[in-house]
Amino acid sequence: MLPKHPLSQSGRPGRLSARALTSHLAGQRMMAAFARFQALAEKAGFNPDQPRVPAGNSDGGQWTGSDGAAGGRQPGIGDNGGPSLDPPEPPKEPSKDKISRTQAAKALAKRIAQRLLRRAGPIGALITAAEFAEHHSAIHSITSYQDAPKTFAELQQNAGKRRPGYEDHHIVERGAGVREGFSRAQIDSADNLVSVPKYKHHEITGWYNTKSIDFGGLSPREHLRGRSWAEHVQTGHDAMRKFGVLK
Amino acid sequence: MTSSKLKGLPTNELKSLFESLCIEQYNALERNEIAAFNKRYSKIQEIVDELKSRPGDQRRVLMQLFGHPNMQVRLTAAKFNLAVDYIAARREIQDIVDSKWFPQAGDAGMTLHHLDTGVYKPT
Repeated sequence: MLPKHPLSQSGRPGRLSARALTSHLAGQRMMAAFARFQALAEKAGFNPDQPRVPAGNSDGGQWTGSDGAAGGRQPGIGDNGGPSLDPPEPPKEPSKDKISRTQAAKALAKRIAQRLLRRAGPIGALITAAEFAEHHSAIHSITSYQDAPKTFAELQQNAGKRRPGYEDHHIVERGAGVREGFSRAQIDSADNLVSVPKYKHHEITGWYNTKSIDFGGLSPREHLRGRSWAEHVQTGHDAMRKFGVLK
Repeated sequence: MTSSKLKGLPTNELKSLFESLCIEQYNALERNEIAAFNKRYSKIQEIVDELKSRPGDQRRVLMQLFGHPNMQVRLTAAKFNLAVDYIAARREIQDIVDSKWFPQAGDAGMTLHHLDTGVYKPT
């Protein structure tokens, strides 16, 4: 979860300058605000993927149950309980919008990481908190992106738990099992599965699939074709280390 | 753009085209659009090949992009200059690692690892 920054490496706050102390306290307040925000969202049972009533209906935009009924909706005068007479508006390129929202949330996750690195002062904290509130649907993914690197055992112990903001990552990719003839048991073994922050997972998977000068224009995935299980595992561990997931 | 068209472009225009394509790659990565990233890789490689073929190996003009505000531009320019000025290019890649601006910092870290282990030998 959120990294904890020690007051000072020596543990003696008296050695900190007034400015550093102010900056540190602002950072602590910012992280505490994030934690409160996250707790509130969880307490309220907030689910950003919960369906909403389509635009064009009188209660358009409200959360709705899986049966399409808006929670707590009371029929008004002239309401016969049937569907709206107005045709619902067609969806506005939902998949493209989702990609854009994810892109914006990822950009914010990075800005927060950079501000934490720089120990941004009170103004930085205020700006970040405001931006953070705008992307409440991605709150878990943005928060998990701030995780410090973990040991292999720590990454393993949460695999399969489906935690919000995290995804299971196969160190040797599932697709490699089919291509290279690795057994299903090897691919699904506990040693090959870890839980990593969602956006870090995207970054590592992206690296595996993009063409690289390192391999003469092949992607790492293409470069690994025909190589041993041990080489696949080694590359997987190297990538997790370089992308800041594994200690 | 075909290779023959690239031959007709001034070196500075090739540098600008390289810069634009790298920025597009950055955006493609952010949107998980891997095919779009890879499509641009081939175009970038053609530009670099054209620069390399020019008298004096003009890949070094890409070193002017070191320190660029876009991290993908910096990383790609540095990687393609390892064979031209290894020390300067390696320093730029190390700076990207130290910035912790991912995913470019992760990619840069892997490149240094591949250089150190001999997996990647710049030409």
